Amino acid sequence: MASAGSGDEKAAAAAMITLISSDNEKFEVTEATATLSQTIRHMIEDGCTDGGVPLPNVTSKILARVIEYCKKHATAAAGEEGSSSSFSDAAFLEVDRAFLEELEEFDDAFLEVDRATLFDLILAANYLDIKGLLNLTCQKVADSVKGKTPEQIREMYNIVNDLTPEEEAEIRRETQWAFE
Amino acid sequence: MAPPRELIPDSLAEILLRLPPSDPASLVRASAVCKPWLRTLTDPDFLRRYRALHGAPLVLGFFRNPMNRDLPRFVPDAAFRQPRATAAAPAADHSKCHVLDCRHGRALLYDYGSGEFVAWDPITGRESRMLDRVPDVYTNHAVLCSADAGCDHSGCGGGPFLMACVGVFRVAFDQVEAGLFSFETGARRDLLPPNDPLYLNPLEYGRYSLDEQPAALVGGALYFVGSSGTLLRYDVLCGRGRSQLLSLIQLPKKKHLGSVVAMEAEDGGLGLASMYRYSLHLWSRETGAEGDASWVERRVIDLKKLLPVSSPKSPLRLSGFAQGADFVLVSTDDDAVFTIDLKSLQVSKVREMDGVRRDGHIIPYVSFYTPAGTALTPLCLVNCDVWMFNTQAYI
Repeated sequence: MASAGSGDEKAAAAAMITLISSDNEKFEVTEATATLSQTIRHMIEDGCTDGGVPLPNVTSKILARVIEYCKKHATAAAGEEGSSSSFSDAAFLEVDRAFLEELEEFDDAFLEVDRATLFDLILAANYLDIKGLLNLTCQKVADSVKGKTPEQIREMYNIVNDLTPEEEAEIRRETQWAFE
Repeated sequence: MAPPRELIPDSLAEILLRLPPSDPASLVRASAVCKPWLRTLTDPDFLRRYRALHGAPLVLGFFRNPMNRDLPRFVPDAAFRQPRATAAAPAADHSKCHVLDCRHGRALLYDYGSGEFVAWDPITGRESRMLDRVPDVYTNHAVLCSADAGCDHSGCGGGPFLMACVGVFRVAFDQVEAGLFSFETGARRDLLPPNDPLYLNPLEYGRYSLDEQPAALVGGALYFVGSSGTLLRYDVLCGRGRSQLLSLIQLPKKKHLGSVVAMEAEDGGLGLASMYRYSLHLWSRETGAEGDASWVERRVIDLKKLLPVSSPKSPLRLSGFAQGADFVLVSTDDDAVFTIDLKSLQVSKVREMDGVRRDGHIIPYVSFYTPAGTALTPLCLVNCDVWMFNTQAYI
């Protein structure tokens, strides 16, 4: 399946991790790529990655996308080793401007997916604890909700309205201005 | 295509956390999508995270006491609108009200028409009234959340709160007295016996009086600006293990201190802003190695370069500060009011602030607009007393 790229040195090749998707597909990635996931980082630290890391919550389709994201961002992440991840970390990376722009373009293109995939990516990012990917995907959904009515939001995301008419009337009555 | 999988609560919170505080309407509309969304948006843990993530809360508007009593007491910011009056929840009439203070999401007003103190939450439009049985000696009043120290005040708007009062009792010696009242019951809630006034030597302090400006709450104590170059400290929430409820702190010794407002310093301790001509000075109260406290001048900001004031003779004055949002308010003599962000030094003109007395104070309303206040207390909004008590559990 996905290979780790051709020019890796022996040391890097030794630090390869096998990720196994829910449909039993195997993905070989470098440790630098895999450790963008805090979940996998902890497993590596605990020495539990021999024989591959089973990820029963992530399909091969989604895992491939997640790895694509991690590979691209692993280079950037190398520069922020040790710093705690937060929403604006990217702004402080001391990498050159062109690379940041390229990364932004990559992120924009990466988010061009249907809503089902976007939700699956959020669930995977949450499960694998990949801060950057979680932020990226969640922000995309949050942005899509902005300016929409509750009805439009429900329609967009197939959400069933389980609020009682009284509850809904109550919210609307108190904050009518937000619905105008 | 298979329908999207349901988002687990964790992921839903991650998404909703990223709705910007500058667009409160989005937060409100999101709360009307379905039960899980409503539950998430009103969850105290979520609100704590929301506040932590988005940093300083927003200024949603300004309170003022206009000379024309028909003008509203609250001028909302552009992104925020007050709830519309309905038959069930008519707009409160504040035409006979004087704004005294604002903190922790609610404003404290005095209604001269009915002789009541009014605690008003402009986000929900709810208000609670307390008949004025407070002794007349108290001239300055402050409102504060009565929840434990753990409350970050991001969603306690409907909760129980206190009114702290100070005033000067004039006998042979001026004596400063303080009292703490529960807004729910009107009863005294003093942590220390109230009969512990602060006696002032007239040779030193003359006829002592307190400035009308709202107090600053720093580290559990309220600080009022008083005459004779002093701050009056009222140890309103602490009290524990401290013998002195009231004490005076001298203002910095400086020839032209100008107008002053007490505030929270950058380090979270007691701070002060003073302004003379175009110079804004920021001070913090530092405690030395031997326990002696003194004022340290931290920054001097030259407003001449920052303010778009045409006439150099136009006198400026400090007219307020925003706790939690790190800015001060500066008024010019032609009724213009500017906010100065102390971090970025960005200057913005406040809209519609005309008609405030020259020496009047302007009180920013600083809060996060989250749907918490409305959604947590469904169906018991008509009776103020009920919601006030019901929301206790939420804090």
